[in-house]
Amino acid sequence: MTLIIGVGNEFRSDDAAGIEAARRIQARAPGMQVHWGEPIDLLDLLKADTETIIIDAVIGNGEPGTIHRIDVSNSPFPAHLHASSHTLGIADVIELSRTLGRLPKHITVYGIEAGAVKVGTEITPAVWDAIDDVVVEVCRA
Amino acid sequence: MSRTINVDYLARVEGEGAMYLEIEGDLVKDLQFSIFEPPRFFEAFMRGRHFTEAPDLTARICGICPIAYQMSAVAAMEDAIDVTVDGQLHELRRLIYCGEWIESHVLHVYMLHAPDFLGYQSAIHMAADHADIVKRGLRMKKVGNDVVALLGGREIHPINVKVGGFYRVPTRDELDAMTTDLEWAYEAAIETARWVAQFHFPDFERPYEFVSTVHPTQYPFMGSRIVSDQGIDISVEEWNDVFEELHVERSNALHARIKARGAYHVGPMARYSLNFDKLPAELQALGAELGIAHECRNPYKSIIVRSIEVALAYRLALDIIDRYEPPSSAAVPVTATAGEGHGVSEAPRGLLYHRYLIDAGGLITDAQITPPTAQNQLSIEEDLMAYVPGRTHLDDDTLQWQLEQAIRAYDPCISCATHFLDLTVRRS
Repeated sequence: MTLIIGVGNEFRSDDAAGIEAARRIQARAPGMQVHWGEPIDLLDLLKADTETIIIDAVIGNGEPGTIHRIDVSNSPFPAHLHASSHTLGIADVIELSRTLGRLPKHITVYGIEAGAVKVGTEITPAVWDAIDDVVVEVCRA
Repeated sequence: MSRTINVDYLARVEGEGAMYLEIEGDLVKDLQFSIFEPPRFFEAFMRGRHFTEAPDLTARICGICPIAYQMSAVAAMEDAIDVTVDGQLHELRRLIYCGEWIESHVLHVYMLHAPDFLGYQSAIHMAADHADIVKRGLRMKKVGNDVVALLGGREIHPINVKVGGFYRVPTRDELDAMTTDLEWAYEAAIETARWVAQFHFPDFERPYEFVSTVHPTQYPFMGSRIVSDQGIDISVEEWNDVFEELHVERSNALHARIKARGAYHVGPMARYSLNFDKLPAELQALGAELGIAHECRNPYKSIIVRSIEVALAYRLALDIIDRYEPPSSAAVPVTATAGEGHGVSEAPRGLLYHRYLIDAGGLITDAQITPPTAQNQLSIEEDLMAYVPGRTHLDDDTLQWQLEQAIRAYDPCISCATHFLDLTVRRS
């Protein structure tokens, strides 16, 4: 079974993208194992033999709503994309898991480019669209 | 000659903020530690909500210390409607708080602060050389996660805490199932304290005014009085008589201060120093063995204090489970009453104060949330001001490293709070 993990802060506008996507995937595909929360707590969830999909907001050079599908199974999270505002971000957790030999053999990160990450609950329309697209793609897989 | 150091953001601080430091010769000409924070947003967000929603809403302010926000919120609401939660329900609240201290402190000790002392850029770099130590830290943290997940319903933004108690209380068997892990973790925490005490600590102490909640017989999680080592001894209701929050132009955050004197210090060192006599004898002995009998005033050594508090949290969790008798009801009944309520509890990072006004229908009409990092801001600035003179011979990288380390010693939770920390050091 594929493990779906949404990461973010639902009170930091577009930083909610990963959590919103995970919630919708859980509603659409109740059989999936879906979690959301702080990146550091993902360490307990990641297992070598469980295919894993992580969804998070990222800050990169693209337009808000741009979707980056990144296979990190064998290569690090690209440095030019900063995952959202957490102590140990997604990139840290993935690399720590890799160092400790716990990284899933198949692990993909969907990074949704954030427009605004200010305090608040409003999500940029382009990010909403991207959340829809990611949900459809993950549920189809 | 002038030199400038720019750092895009301060790594390993929970959240984001900014620091600007200008040095002239051996003197600090200007220093500003700024955080751009959202508690004001949450205070506004709370208005118009029902008083029973406060624990669930405030839990979302911070992913690292949701229990602290819940506990200060329920304490304030129960004060407002004149309800007392005691006995086993109070003990279960202490138990879930143990879980949060464990999660937060272990994260900080192993993943955020230890790499500073061992010369690693990050926990990932440290894990490459010290995999077994990092795995021990992760396993210790997992035990805290399990406590929070069982009592809180889930690990992140727990949903089982309510005004009056809990939605559901655990069975005896559910708690007993955790004791083996807790016993292992207690010993691991003592090993952790001895491990971190071997680190090299800059010779640096400060005459802080320590402020903490106190309880008549317990090391404090929740309490009704607030004390300092310079004479403050007040009830929670008197908070705004003694403390004030000032808006500082460079920061969205309010800076808290003691009206009569200015900066003060909350958090593990303050709790430890004001409540050392409430620690179990074996942990008092451990503190003495590690060179911090009775008090600790070196912020770099806060990593030892956190480790001792982690051991305490496992010890208390075992004691609470040992004495547990499932209460007949998961919560005491609550009814809306117009009034004002004040609540404090000890977040991992320090004292967290909440105040609410509610109307006869139970709706929140005013909210005040004072997080620990806002209270420590002046103290952090004064630490940096005091640290630089006599150390300006250090090269930029070393000085920057030690200053960042000093800020991290507070485990600042700027995300309760904030944005990226830009660190700028300018020399002339």
